[in-house]
Order: sequence, then C-alpha cells, then structure tokens
Amino acid sequence: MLTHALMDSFIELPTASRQTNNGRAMSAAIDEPTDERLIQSTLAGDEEAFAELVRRHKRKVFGIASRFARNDHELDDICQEIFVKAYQKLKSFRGEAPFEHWVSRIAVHTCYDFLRKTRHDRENVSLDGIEIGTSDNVSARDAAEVLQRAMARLSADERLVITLLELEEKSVHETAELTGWSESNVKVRAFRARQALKKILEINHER
Amino acid sequence: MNDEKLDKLFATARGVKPDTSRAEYGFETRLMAHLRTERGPTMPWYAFAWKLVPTFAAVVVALGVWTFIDSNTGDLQSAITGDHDENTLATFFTGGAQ
Repeated sequence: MLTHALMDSFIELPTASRQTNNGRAMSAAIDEPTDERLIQSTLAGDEEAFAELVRRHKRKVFGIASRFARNDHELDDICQEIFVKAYQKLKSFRGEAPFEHWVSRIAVHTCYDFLRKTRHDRENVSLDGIEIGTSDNVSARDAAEVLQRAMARLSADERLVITLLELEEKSVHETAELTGWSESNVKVRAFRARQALKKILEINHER
Repeated sequence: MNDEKLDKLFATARGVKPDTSRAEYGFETRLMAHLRTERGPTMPWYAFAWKLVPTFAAVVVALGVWTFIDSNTGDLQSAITGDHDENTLATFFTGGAQ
C-alpha cells in the first residue's frame, strides 16, 4: 500500500514539477513590467527602468542606425544620441503609439541629422575597385558594398528615403510617419533618389 | 542601369543584415554613464542651505543694529519732545517766563 503511494508520488512528480515550471514562466511573464510602466518608473527617477527600456528596444535602434553608420564607433555615437534624446523627451511621450514606434521616429530623425552633418565626408567616397557586374551574379555582400558606397554620394534626404523604402522595406505610409514628410513628398524624394542612384552606378559602370 | 537591375541589387543587398552585436555589447552601461555625466551630480536642495548662512547672518546682524539704533533714538526723541511739550504746557498755564 505504502509502496504504491510512493510509486504514485514518483510518477506524479514530473507532472507537478512541470506545472510548477509553467507557473513560474507564466508569473514571470505577468511580472514583467510593460513599457508604459517602465516609462512611469523612469519619470519617477528610476534609472534601472530606463536601462530595461533600452535593453528591450536597442536591437531595433541599432538596426536603423547601422544602415547609416560607417563603423562601430559611429554606430555607438548615433545610438547613444538617440537614447539620450528619448530620455530627455520621455515626458512628451503620450502613449498614442507604442514606445518602439516613438523611439524609431527619434532614431530616423537623428540619423537624418547625422547624414546632414557628415555629408562632406561622404561626397569623397570612391567607387573605384568595386565591380558591380550584372545583378544576377553579384554576391549579397558585394551588392551591399556597392550600394553603401553609391548611396554615400546621395543627399541626406535621398539616402534616408531610399534606405527606409528599399532596404528596410517600409511602406510609403510608414516612411512618411517616420520622417514626418507627407506621402507625396516621400514618393517624389524616392523617385529622385532612384534617378540619382542609377546615374551614380551608371557612371561607375562605364569607367 | 535600369530599374529592374537596381531592384535586383536592392533585393540582394537586403539579404545582408549588419551585425551590430559587438556595438550592442554593454551599451546600456555606457549609455547610463553618459546620462549621469550629462545630468551632473544630483544635489538635494538642502545641500545648498549652508551657502545661505552668511546671508542670514548678515540679515540678523543688520536687524540687531537697526533695532538697537531705533530703540535708542526713539527714547531720546520721545524724551526731548515730551519734555518740550510738558514745559510749554506748564509755561502756558502758570504764565511763567519762557
């Protein structure tokens, strides 16, 4: 009788243990504070809450900034500027859109400012030594390198709009929201950017 | 270069996702340190109270001096004017020579 009871308890143990683990996972998910909660805590002076917000959203911000930065040092600088701005403007966050969208808008504006500031450095970027070839046989890394160098010669707004539309695959509406430009303005700038980019690549191909 | 070629170039380049893991490492720590230096050391309001001590001391001394002078001059004045009034009244009622 006792043996049976012991056996049953051993058989039951894994199930019970699994339930406990599931319970822990569920409670951890419930306990995890929302972005809104973290924002409130940050505004109340909790620095760790802001660090958690950064931890959650840095991947997205780094993804946007990495399209414009030329090295890790620049990337770090841009991302720090983005999050410092976010911290300073946190009071103005009204929660109408998710925090990720809000911080993405700040990221796009900061990258735009960065492109304008470094425009003169980029005008001298050379396309020499890069073989574009036909698009069918070009490798992904080569294509990225060619575009990176060719796009460096575009103006800040042209580069921004083409990066968001073509590389980040944002829609015209999303690009308009991120940049603060009207949709028709985005379309016009994108058209001009494509024309300019084709011209740059053609000139390089003819050499 | 035509549009089709450019689109293919974009499509191929899209496959390359920049690796940001190295730059992301320890980013929060660097950022929080940056924010702290930007804000400067946070001092509570009462930390500045000691700077007001000389001002308050000067005010107390000034009040003391003013009270002392005021009380002395007040007494003297009333004594002078009081005596003068009393003398004038006595002379008037008694008809004495001034």
